[in-house]
Amino acid sequence: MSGAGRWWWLMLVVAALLALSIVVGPAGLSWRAAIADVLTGHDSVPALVVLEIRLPRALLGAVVGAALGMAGAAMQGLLRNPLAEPGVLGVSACAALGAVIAFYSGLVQLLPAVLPVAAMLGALLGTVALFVWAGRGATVTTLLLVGVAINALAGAATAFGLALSPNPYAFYEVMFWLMGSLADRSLDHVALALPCVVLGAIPLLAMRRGLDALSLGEETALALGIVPSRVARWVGLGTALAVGGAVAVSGVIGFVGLMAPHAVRPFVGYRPGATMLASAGAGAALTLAADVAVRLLPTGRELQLGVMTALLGAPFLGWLALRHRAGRAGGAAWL
Amino acid sequence: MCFDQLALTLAAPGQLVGVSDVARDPLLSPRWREARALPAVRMRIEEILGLRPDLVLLDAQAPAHVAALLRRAGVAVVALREAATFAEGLARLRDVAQALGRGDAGRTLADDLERQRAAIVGEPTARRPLAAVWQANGFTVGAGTMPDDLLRLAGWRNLAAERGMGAFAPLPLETLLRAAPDLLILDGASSERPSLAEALLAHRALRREFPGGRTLVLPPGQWLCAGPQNLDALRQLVAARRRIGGVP
Amino acid sequence: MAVVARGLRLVLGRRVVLDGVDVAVADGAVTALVGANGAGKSTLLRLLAGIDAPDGGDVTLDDAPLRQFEPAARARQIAFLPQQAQPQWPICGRDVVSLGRLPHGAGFDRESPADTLAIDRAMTRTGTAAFAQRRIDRLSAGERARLLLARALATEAKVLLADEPTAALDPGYQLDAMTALRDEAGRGVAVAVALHDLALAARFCDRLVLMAAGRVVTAGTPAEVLQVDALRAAYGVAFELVAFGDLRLPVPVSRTARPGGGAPP
Repeated sequence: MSGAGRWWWLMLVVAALLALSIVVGPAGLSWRAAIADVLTGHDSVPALVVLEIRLPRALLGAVVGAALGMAGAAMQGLLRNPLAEPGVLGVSACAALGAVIAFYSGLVQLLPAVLPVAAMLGALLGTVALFVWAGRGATVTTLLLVGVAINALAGAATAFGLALSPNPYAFYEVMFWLMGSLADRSLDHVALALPCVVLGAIPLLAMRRGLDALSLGEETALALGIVPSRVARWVGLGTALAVGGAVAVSGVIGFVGLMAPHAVRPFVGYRPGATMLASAGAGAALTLAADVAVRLLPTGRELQLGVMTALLGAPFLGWLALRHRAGRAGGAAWL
Repeated sequence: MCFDQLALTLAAPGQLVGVSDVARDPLLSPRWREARALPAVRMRIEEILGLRPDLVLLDAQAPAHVAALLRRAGVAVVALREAATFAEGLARLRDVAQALGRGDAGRTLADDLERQRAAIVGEPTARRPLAAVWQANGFTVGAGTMPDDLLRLAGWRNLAAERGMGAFAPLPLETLLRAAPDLLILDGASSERPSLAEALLAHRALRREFPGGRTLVLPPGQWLCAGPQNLDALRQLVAARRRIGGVP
Repeated sequence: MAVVARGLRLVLGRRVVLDGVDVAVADGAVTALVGANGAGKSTLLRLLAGIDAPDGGDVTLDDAPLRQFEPAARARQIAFLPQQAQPQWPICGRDVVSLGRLPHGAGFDRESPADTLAIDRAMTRTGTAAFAQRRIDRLSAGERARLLLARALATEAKVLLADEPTAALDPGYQLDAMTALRDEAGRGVAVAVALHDLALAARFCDRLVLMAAGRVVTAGTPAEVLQVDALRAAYGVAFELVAFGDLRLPVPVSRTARPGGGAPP
């Protein structure tokens, strides 16, 4: 298969899952009428269901998944660590903490844009804490330990913050923030998340060559005129913006950023820069598929999307760890 | 919780020594002011006994060991079932009054409420428009509940009851829109602090499909429990039916 | 003179790694940095490459101070092959080499005809064309070292600095690698290489710089530098000079002192 062909396939898969996400829902629709009403701008109920309920959910699945996939690939490329991921390393949990503080304090009611901004600040803080705490050139183990600590701390702080809210429902919403969901989101949420994710993707994509240069180590990158600390700064910022924007509207959806890069890496020749772009597509596809699955599963209440991705992702993490162990024993160069 | 309301309505001054803590919530309890003047108890036997009551009004659904322990401590216990209809509510009102030793006052109030109800509701109407209740987290209220009975009395059909949904069941937003009820009944915000559960009630699709004229905000306190406050809910529901249903 | 360093001083913590080092790397010649482990060869190369800044003294490239260069502009002029380049991802051989074109604005997915030509040339010169599509983690250490050398050659810079490029190679490939560096010098490139193998240094290099404890002991032609006394002082090892054609190559015989002053056991 040619290089360009692979990209077309990826786009086709994402488009198909987007369409599927719009088709799946609890209310049966007359599709002929719905499509006609959407196209003519007629304000009917089927058109409303499609445009205001299912379309935002599908779009958010793609946007959030792309952000997580891209951020995961960027972190793995930067840290040269195949286990790095915003969810596992606590960056997403920090974003959720920021969003929770902004939302339940009532600030968001005054200005909706505070929500993603606070989430991005939280993610930025988490990223900086991770880099500083783990240090440059940290081993896989150190990085994961620090990430686990940040993740646990941010999760506990989120639960604590929700318990402080006088609103009787708030406490039970810890589930949403720590095990994200795309249920009942609206176009308002798309409008909040999309600009942040696009804004975050700009520095990430601009650092593609920097990440490529890092694939032979920091010293070679320096010799090639790439300053690793500069790459780290921009990748950190891009990750925080993209993850913050995503988490602000969906809560923490873990493991997408872990699975997506690994799924696409062999198809792009393990190039870190290209992995980032392909992983955005794979992350979107994965999130959309998982979100369709939670709607089709015969559970009483709809399963949280974050539960679904964790069900897939946690065993995957275990499998990676096993391969890591075997790889070290066998002297493999990567992982 | 519901019996707190009735007791607060019927008891003689000084007769009550404690109410449950939810009775102090302004959204759930129309008599929260009176409730706040009294000590609040949760479902903890130690707290209840600490108030040294002669009588405890208990929900019949309370854990069996609570009633047993209270009786062993020498406290009289009257266990009552929550009212699921307006008529049951009147019966419960009489029961509570009886238990408090104010049977006459109870009977008078119940008769008065029944008269007022008849006046508010008027004659049965031929066309019964469709209403849907939508609460925080997208939950709706089905058959076997006080709101369902009040809707029926006011001449509405209840969407959740017609669909055979449970007493309190989630109703997906899409399904709600597809059903296109004539009236959407929302509950008020439960506090000044926001929650996602209540933010859902401001979803764009709802705002577009149900502009102000087709929605009614009824705080849960008005119609979740039996009591005189039910008449206010009934009045609002009937007024909304006349306004929207078009049938006098 | 392409790269000239004057009075270089570098301190890491309390340790003086380099002190008062003057070195020149001439165009069209191969300059070898020799000396014991820890003498400061790698550190000096990093300063010459401009990826570290000295605490004192300065490095110039064609009389312009190196620290005034933008990183990318510097990388176009000076190719540096670090001793330890640990591949982090199993990218393919050709991608490794094409990274050498990064300072010229090339990316994995963006290659000008000039880039393609340079990459192919570098792979031919190092005999790595056969690894183009093979994953780097499936190559032997020697094959990988040649690919990394090809990466440095692909930049086609006017200065080439290589840190121990022969370390992982068998004798045949050692000769190939040194021949490749010699050929670069033949094209006018200023080549400097840190070496442990004094015989290779004597045979393939025009000038030698003998270092010990962060200072230059002697510098000059191989015949001038490879003297038994200077080598013993620098390495703490007794050498004998053995005739090889016109050359006299040093052969290590016995340790006389540990670096740092201790007597042999």
